[in-house]
Amino acid sequence: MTWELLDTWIVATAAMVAVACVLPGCFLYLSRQSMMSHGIAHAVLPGIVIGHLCTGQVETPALFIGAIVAGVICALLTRFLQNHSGVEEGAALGISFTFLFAVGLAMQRLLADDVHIEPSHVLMGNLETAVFNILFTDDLAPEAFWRASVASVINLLFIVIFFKELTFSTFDPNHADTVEARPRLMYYGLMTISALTCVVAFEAVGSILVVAMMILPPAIASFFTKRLKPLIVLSLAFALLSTLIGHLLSISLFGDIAQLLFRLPRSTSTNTAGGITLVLCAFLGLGILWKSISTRLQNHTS
Amino acid sequence: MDISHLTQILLPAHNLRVIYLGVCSLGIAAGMLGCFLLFRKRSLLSDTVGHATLPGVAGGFLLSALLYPGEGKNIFILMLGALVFGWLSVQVVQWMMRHTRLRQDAALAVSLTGFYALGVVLLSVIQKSGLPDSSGLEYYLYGMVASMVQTEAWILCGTAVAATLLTTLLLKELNALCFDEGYAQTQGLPHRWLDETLMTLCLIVAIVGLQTVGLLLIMALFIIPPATARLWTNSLKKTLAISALVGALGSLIGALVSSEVEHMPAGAAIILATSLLFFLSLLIGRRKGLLSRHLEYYAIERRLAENQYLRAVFDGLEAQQQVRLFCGLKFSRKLAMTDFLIRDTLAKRNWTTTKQSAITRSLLKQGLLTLTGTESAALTDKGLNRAIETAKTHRLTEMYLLEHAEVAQKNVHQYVERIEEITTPEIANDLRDLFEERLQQELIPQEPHEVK
Repeated sequence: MTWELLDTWIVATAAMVAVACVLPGCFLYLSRQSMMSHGIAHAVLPGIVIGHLCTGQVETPALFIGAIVAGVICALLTRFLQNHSGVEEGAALGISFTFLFAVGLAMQRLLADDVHIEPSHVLMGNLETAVFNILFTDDLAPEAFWRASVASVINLLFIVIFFKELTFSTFDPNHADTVEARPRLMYYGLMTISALTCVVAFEAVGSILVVAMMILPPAIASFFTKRLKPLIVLSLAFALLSTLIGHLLSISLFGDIAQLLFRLPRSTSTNTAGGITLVLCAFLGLGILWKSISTRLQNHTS
Repeated sequence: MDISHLTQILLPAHNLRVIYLGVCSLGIAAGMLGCFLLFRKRSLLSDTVGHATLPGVAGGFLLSALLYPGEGKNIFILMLGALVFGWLSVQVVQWMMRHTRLRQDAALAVSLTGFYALGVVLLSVIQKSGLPDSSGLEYYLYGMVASMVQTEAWILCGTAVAATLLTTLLLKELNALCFDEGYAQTQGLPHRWLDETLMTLCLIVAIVGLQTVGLLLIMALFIIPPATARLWTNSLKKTLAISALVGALGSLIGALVSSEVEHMPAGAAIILATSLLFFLSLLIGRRKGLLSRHLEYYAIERRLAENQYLRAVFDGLEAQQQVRLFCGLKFSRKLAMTDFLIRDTLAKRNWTTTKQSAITRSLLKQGLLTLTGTESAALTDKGLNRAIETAKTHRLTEMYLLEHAEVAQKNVHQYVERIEEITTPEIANDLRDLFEERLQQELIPQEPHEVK
């Protein structure tokens, strides 16, 4: 294992993506809408494809606008189906996001079938290629890093400005309504920044592991604290820690294990985003263990 | 498209026929089993299962390369891998919900991403290992109808038959399990066992269908057809039948489209076709469709407006002639002959002229009114009877509200309008019995509150 400049940038970019994801993720987790992040991550695909078709380029604001619109449409459609088709929330979400994702997939294959938005890239993500161009240009940092940083700042601003309203509408939407904290507006605001985060994150970690970055850190943190602010801070800490450990393991241990297990010719590095998620899962296991031990100890002493 | 092409689609060659049969069976099985997932509010579990099969597929690929080097991918090892990991993901979700503080949504998301991440890691190993024949793995993500082999089609057929048989035989038990779990337990039903069987069947269908629809979208086949069926009916049996039909139709159309249109991924085509059926049902569905609900609402609105119109006419006549109706029929001739000015009668209602003329026209058409001039009209016998009936119901309801529900004088009018839709003549008769003593001689009571 050798640590190079590229590795530093991979970890830095992953860390920024993690920060951007955890901020809306905490509120999604707490308001029991974890699967919403999964839905939005899928639903942004048609927006991305349309944005791409309109401008013919990959890195334009049109892509972001398209994706945000598609994400909000997914949230709206879910609400609508929930109210008007008599199915529960989960099924409504399932219908709306699979429909949007199928539209996006079909459009991508039929109309924009070139290498720029390869769906397997959208789904898997590849941090290694996302930061690759730093080696050949004089840029200060890879573009993916800048984008993730901007998204983090936007998310942070949104949460700092509307902290009180968000807290209200997360824990008690009915009360929020009576004190005019605008729970509806907060909900769609949260969906907007989630969609934005998904677009920024998908090329780095893939649209499905965005969900891991959003939901796993707050889920882990919820085993250690019950208060909102410590929960956010702890989630950020876990996310950052796991990016570092995840990448380290991906370029060393995981490849060795795979080589041993499947008798491959040589050890290789594995996908970093996947590695980070596996580390987060391990943290979750530790969290569960910690909780059960501490409750048992408490029962013992009392 | 010429005729021969059309016949080619409608009467496909044998191997294609088998594929279409398999696709249909997939739709039927998923549609029926999906109903129970929907009833148990576990639709998104199929999403988790679908995604969680990725490490099974990738690991199975690596394993088959290890066991049978050089022979390409062994489809049964891949499927077995997918089955194992799909089953594991369900167990993880259930364990988390039972033993940790994580709620259903978080447990689903955690299990989904955890297994998917393992799959991503294994895929990256495959990509870099340079093993041959790894290209076909993409079908598992997006689906490919043409990749279906005969064995798979027959397995799908078998599962569809098994699912149909099982649901028919265990309909009562499954019904109890879905709608009243507590009752199912007290009746000594092997409820844990039933649940496991249901989940296992779902898993098998999902995994056999994996290559056709792709692991990202397979869950939609379990969610959309049942949701479509719910828009048409409330009965369990009909829901199952419609759901199976929608699943089969959507899968078949999707498979046809994807084989006709180049580059069209089968999974996307099937889900789009099924979604189309869903959105159509959302529009015109009989039970909860938007259109039928609007029509129903419109009909109620219309009937209420007609009643209000007739009541206004009746009030006007009563005030004008200073009559107390001791026996409506005696006066009916006279009253029915009296014409009234439409505009004045409806002055108290803040209706637009369009609404006024629309309701007038509707009443004329039903033969309740006759026009006596350009601006005036008169009630017919039939119209008078209905007006008397309406006024009676209305006033009795008002009396009831005033005396028994303790509604204030000034509010009674708006209350009665709110419940007008449900006060039928039968209820009015019951109310009449309630006030019998006071109304001994009057057919229609007086307006119990002051008319503004």
